[in-house]
Amino acid sequence: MSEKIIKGITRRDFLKGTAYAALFGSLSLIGKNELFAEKKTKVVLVRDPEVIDARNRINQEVILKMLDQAVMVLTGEKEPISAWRKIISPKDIVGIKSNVWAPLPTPHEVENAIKKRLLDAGVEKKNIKIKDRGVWRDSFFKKATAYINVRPLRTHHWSGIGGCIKNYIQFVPRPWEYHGDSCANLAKIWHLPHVRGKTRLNILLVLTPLFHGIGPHHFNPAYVWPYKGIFVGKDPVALDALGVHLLQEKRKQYFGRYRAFATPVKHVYIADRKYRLGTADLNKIELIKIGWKEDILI
Amino acid sequence: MKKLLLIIFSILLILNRSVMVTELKKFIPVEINGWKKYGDDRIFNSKTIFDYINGSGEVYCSYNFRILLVREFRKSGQPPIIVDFFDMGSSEDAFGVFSHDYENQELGIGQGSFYLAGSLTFWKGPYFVSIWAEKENEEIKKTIFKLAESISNAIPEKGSLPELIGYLPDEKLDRKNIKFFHNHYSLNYHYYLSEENILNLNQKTKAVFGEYRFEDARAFILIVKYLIEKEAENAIISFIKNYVPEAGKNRILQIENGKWISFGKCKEIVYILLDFPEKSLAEKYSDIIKNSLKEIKHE
Repeated sequence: MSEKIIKGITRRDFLKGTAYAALFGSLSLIGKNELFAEKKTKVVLVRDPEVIDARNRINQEVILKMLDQAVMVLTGEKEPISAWRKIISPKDIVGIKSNVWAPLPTPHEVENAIKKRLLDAGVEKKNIKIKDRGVWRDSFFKKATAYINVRPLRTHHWSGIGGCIKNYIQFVPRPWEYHGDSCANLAKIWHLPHVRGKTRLNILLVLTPLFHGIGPHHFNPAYVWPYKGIFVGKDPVALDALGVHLLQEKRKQYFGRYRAFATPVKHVYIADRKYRLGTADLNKIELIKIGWKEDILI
Repeated sequence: MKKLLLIIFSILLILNRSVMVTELKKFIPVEINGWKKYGDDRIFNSKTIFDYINGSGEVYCSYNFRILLVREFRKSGQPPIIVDFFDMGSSEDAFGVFSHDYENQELGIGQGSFYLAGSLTFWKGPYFVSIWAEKENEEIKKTIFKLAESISNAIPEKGSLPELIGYLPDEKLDRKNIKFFHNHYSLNYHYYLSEENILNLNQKTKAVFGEYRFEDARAFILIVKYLIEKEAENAIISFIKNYVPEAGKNRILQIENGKWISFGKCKEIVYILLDFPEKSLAEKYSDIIKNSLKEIKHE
């Protein structure tokens, strides 16, 4: 299917129910997922009402427990350390790609939890580094053998949402070159030689997601809500597709109607259809939900 | 000779910008409620705004903004308060950029204003102002309001609303939520029509978008003014081809969601009624628009 067909989708296509077919109709033509060969992509959603307290502080022990649960389910292991060892080898040099956007950064508690489990799994302390901006020129990240990608989910003015795929824009020296056409080609970054095949785990934080952005700073505390969850999986596209779905549901709940993102979330679907990075088709994702179910929305 | 003219032009441009910045600075106090100006003001234009705003800079560019002045205020033990003061060049674009994200809460500040959890925004004359703190508490809220009032009072003149607003039928119109914009990205933000720019909107077109409430149903009217009549004709042709190909010569039709669409043009102006719950309502509102457009003195 040519890209022109996707570009031509109108509101009426959605009303007729043909937009979905236009977006995903060609998926059957796509070969095996090149990076993560799974028939149905497994994503784990863990929620815990105790992970954030009334003053918005993250409970270190609870977030570690949530991460353990997710990784154990994802790998099929019954114990956290052995689960992590299925993802990371003690010999690995691990770059943790976080996100420092000031209003909603990757929380230190999450970074600490990942680091702890990497150490527990036998990775040497000198072989672990956490960084966001400038990773493209960072000598540690250049020599890293494995990446863990972790960031909060939020709406984003240029790309519709900021999720796992978007988080790798810091792996290129000129990020603005990827801003055109709603950041449609972000997934291309994942195929660059210094990035391709290194990502072992994606963690999309939905502890306090931002579901709407207004004004120059695109942030207002009124538009975050305590969802208290984390999505964990190997397929960044699947995680982002679920993130889009969750934000859309929250927006429907909040605004009382469907409300489009500031920018179409094209990059997630193009990551699937054009770059074959993973699946954006919710029907092809096995979502395993663990823990707190109240107001789960999806 | 050409080189000399270019140098003179560049110098004049820099001088003009410098005068504009000096003028903008006068509108913002240096101290308020114990909060003091922190560091130097920062100045951005349409090329440099992306150094400051991650992503949403495009919104301001789409409203042809000229200069952004950023002033930060600090007070011990409190998060910073940021004033983003945009010179939009015209009052219709100042109104437009305000309407992009906000509905008018009529807080009595500027010509339209909105407050939400530590963020107050208003427009007055050709200026759009955003005052923002990452967190909200009582002191921050009080200071933000005081700051907004001070800035608004310092701006001497009010501006006019976009003239197209006058052609939106008044009955059932949500007046606090009227949108003004230029391009199809903005249209899609307010009402997703098509990923393609099927109405050929651009930075020179002017559009208003009004929302109507009929009991539980929400309907919308889009009015677009093109530079010349030919552009309006082409827009209608493109709209029919890409959105309502079954319309033929009809200018009113029911679509798959049971709602009614009506459209037409008068000289360089195109109007489109969307999601009307009943045919009779679509006809009534189309007639009102047609009649009011007939009274326009076209350029």
